Amino acid sequence: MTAGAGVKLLTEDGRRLDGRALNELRRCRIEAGVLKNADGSAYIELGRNKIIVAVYGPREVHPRHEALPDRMLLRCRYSMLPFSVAEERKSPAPTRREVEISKVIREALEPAIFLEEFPRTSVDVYIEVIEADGSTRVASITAAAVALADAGIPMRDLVAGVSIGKIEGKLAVDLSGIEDQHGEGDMPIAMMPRLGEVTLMQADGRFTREEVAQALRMAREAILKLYEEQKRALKERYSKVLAAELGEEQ
Amino acid sequence: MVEGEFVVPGDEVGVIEEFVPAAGTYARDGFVRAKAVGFVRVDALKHEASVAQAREVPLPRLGDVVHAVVTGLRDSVVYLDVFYNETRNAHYAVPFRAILHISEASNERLRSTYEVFGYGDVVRATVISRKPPYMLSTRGPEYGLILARCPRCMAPLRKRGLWLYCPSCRKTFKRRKIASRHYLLR
Repeated sequence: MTAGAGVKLLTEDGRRLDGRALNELRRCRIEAGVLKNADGSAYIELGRNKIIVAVYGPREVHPRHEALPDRMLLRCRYSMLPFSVAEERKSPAPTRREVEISKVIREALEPAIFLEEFPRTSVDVYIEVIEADGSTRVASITAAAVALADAGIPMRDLVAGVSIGKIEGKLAVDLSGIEDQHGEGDMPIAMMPRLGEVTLMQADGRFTREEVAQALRMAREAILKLYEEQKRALKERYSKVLAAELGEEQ
Repeated sequence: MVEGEFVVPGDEVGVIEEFVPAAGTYARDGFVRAKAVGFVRVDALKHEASVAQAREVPLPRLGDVVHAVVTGLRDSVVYLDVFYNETRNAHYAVPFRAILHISEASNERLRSTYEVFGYGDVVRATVISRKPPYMLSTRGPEYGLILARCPRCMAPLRKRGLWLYCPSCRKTFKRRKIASRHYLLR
């Protein structure tokens, strides 16, 4: 990656290309329960990112030799649709990058789930990126947590993620595609907002010790905002159930 | 937390000094926290805090009544695919494999499971294990076949009195284990 090769990512008044401040998230909207055939599902729009997540399970493990005798098997598949990128059509075959992202998403979600409650079963999380514009892995995690909760899978906490990047020497929250491409570094961070535990932290580029500490602070602040949106989405999904419950009590 | 309040996983429902974590909750860092999306329930008498889940995982549980298809037969065991859970009214798109041992097939003594079940028969049974591989039982009058076909001509068997008979080839099956009140083709 060429670090900041001639592309100006900050305007003179310190704003970013899309007019955001450095610690400002893009507009985020989450919807839970968008798919009928899946056990749980969610849709997220983070800026121009559009991602749909479907959760199936717990169900019997196929192939059966993969079943774990003491806990549930969590499988994730992150995939980008051929038309999801601005450049040339992306090949629908899973790339190295997608395989890796599937793995890190699984590892980011695993600590939040009570895997031991359903031994010898599997939960499959399918993540389809419809449109990509930077920070898709963390947006996928945010949506996947909502889809898992929608499926009724017991969890310790929701998980939400945000990417912190370095553009023109300054830390910025929630990188867009162009900032990711021409910035000096990218650090995706996912956390369990209520428990305050980090479940994913990667980085490329160079960050000093102070910058890492600051990045975590900025990430926490942004993640709490995403968490509110996750909660709102789940509440909206179950508002009908809520109305029925209240009617029952009267 | 107020009774009936909406919670998502991780939300604090109460403190462990006051409440015992019950269904849908767990204890962590001194708090009773929600495990799933749902509504808070407080039992002041038992000092229990629980969450009435908005959506529960419909896995077969101990004691559930399920419907299953016979996929394999040995003298001592029957292999089945569980496709419907009557207790939870849940259909399984991917069926669960289950095992029925001859000792749990009937209240009577059987020499072989071939006497009571045939391939492709639909069975109503209870779950007698807590986790996969699920063990089933068809002991009791309300459990057993709810749909069976004639092994010779594949015509659906009908019930006549206590027995099953084939309306096309007139053969009678006296040993079949029938779910008496549920047999679909009376």
